[in-house]
Amino acid sequence: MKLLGLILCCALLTQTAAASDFTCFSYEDGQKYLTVEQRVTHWGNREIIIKNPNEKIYTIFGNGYIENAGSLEQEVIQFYTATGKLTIVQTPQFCGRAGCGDGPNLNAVAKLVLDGVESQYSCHEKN
Amino acid sequence: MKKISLLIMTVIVCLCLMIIFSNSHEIVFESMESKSLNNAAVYNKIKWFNFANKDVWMMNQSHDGLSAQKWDRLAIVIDKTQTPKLAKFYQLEPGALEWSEGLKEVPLRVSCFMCHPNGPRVIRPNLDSSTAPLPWQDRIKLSLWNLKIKSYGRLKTSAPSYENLKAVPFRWPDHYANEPLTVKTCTKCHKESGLFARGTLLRQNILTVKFMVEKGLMPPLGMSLSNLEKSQLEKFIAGF
Repeated sequence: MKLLGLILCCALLTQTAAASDFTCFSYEDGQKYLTVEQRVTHWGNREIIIKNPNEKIYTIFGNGYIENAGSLEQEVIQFYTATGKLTIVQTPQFCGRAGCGDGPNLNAVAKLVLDGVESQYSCHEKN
Repeated sequence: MKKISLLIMTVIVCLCLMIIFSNSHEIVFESMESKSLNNAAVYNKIKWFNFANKDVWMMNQSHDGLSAQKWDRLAIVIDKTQTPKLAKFYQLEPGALEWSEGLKEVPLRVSCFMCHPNGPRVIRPNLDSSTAPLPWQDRIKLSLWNLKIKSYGRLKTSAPSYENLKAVPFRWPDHYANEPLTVKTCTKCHKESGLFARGTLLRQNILTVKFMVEKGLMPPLGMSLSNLEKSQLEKFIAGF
């Protein structure tokens, strides 16, 4: 029984995978930022931890989907709570219409609505 | 003899004017600069509409070959009533290159400002394209359109008024993306004001900067970079 428990525990732990994390800068002043940490729980749910400038921490859940636009493919991830919503739009790289390349590592934008307050951010993936 | 020369010149000028002002024809070409993610050709269809108070540059773009069903439809509208002139950017629902007020906007796929810090740019077709060869009439027309684009000088840029939850920003707003390129030879023109001003280049413009420098299109004829400036530019492109 103990062995079964151990196997089950290991199996759940191996399912826990880190998804992309982001650092986001405010549209307003380019300074205020929030950090977004995504993870997949033991139960396969995707959860997201948002740390905003006021040091408040929120945990919300959601799903993502790929919007196919040819080479300008975007991943749209939307997360919801009872009081808020976070939308992240991510492109695979630093891309313009002319192509992609190494750039300022900006490849995502985020819009956060929490407790009725809306804010927009440009984000880059944490390495 | 003088009369014949004058007549020939008049005919050439009239032909050029006819070509430049004929709105009915769109030009299809393979882009010299743009490549898809898998390095395949990108195709553009461009059309220019001339109005008393504005110029409208419309483009359909395909990253999926000439036979793609849906092309991205874009427009840059130059408001000629303002000084300096104002360039407004639009991403529109797929459709024909026909301009009318109130066309339906859709979210930007990419940030326009990354490649267009000063409105429309010189149109550069791949003249060696085997898939979309450019007839000589269209080459002349593109050259004249490019003169028109150059004549705008310094333009102010304006993001689409359209707001959408998923919209990519017209211009990346954070501090790092807005750090300016300060290489002295570049800033002779890439500055905010002055006779040849074309707008400051920023960190978010580096894909375009890199292309222009690597292709030898910049610095322009008659200007060159010192070894120190080359090193400064390389560092800037590398992100330092």
